Amino acid sequence: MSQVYTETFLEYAKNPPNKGILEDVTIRHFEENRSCGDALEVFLKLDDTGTIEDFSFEGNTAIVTTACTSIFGELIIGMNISEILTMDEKTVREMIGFQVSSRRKQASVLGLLAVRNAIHKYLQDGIVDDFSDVLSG
Amino acid sequence: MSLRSHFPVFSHHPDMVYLDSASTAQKPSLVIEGMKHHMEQEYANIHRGAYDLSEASEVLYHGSKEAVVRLINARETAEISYSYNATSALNILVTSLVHSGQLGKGDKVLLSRAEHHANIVPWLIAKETAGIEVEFIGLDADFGLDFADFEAKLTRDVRVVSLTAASNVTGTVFDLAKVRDIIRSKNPAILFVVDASQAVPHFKVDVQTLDIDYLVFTGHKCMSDTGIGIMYGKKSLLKTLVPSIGGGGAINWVHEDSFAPAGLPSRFEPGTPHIIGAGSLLRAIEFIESIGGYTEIERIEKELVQCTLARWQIFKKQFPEVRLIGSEKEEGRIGVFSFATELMHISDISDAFADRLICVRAGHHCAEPLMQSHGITGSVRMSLFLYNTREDVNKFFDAFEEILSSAK
Repeated sequence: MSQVYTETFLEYAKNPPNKGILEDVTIRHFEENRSCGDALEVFLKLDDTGTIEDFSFEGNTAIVTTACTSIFGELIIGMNISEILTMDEKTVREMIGFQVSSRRKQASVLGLLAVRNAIHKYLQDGIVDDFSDVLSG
Repeated sequence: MSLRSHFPVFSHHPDMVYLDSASTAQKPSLVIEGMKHHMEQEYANIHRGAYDLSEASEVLYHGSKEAVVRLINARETAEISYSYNATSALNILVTSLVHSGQLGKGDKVLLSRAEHHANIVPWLIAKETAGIEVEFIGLDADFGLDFADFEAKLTRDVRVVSLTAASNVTGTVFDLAKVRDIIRSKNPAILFVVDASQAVPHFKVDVQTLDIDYLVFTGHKCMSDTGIGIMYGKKSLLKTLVPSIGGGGAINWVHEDSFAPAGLPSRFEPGTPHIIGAGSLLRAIEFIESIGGYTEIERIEKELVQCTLARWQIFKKQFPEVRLIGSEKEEGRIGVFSFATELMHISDISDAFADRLICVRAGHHCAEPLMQSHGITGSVRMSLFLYNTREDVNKFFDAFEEILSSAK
């Protein structure tokens, strides 16, 4: 069954406002969803307290990945990195306002996964998240 | 007349166009009813059961191996062992070669750049654990084996040449007869291993004529249930292969400090096998034989390939941004076609096809070295099988035109 996306969602997919390479970046991280051919790099600017001041992403990504990453990236500005590490697919679902189809679940959380792993790198905690850490079931 | 009527899935989904048989094949009624009959009337565990049900189950299990012997022209059922799929069969083969001391530090294995990960990763693991070397043979302009590169890499330390019979991305059929001739003239002791997963559903792979030492394929691509992987080995070689796996059914005796492996092929089949799956493989091979065998399959698929290539010639003029990752020639290929483009993300293309009830697959198809060698991360793949029709091919291209037109 085809999923119908809202105009807003499709607009984020077509013209994501936070696509590009951030200058003055604190952390950057490359993440892939090999099964779908999605690959992106996220860029985060943090202040001294670990609060996200700015976000951008770059890469060859499908509609769902682009829109979800862009919306997610907008909404995490002003949040602390510790909050991000508790986020999962439910968070993304609340952010975008609907449930993506099961075959697009990994695409919807690729941006979140990338940001979580960027933060782990920043914290040097030795943790590497994978899709099982952000998807339920 | 189309063979679709033999496949219940097309009655349940009459508008669906299934073009993903390279991933898995749909099942004919003969297989489905056969499994049901087996479970309802003939099912029990095999080996050593003294009662009628066990004997009936054993007949089906052994019968499936006799059918495999016919299919690939092996010599006897002792040369056929079952595991979970072709990947597990390859893992068992590679680890057993190492365990037997037949493959070790410094020994080289040659693969092609078109291999499926099933025929790459087990060897790379052996590289880590046993210190073997792995080298890749390049492809020529038509996506066939680059024989000049092959001969150059066939050095003294090569112990194994392991190749696919047909690519699951490009559809190219490798000239295994030529590979055989080169290997045997260079060093007859080199093990010639073939991954026939994409070949056996479409054409005869004769292990004796091709002088193949070990061959694997997977049942579900040949219309059996999933969970049946087939490993063929020359009996003389299997006798020397110490299994890296073990357990009940695969031993002659077990003491607290030692054991003796069973004879062939049981030593490679520890634990309870997929008995129903083996029965389904028997029915699948019987189905192939009932429709006219490979002669009929090849006739059907040749027409479909011709139709696809003809439509492609028109399509590519309209969409020069789309590349066919494979040869445009009809000869030397099966009906697997992969397309790459920058016009639209491949996931979005396959989603758009799915919206139109056309089943294709997007991604790297477990062939990343091939993708990397062509500078792409993935492709949209359509694959044809004996139940497809010209109408399916035309619907595919009509939809592809519509999808990409919206992106232009």
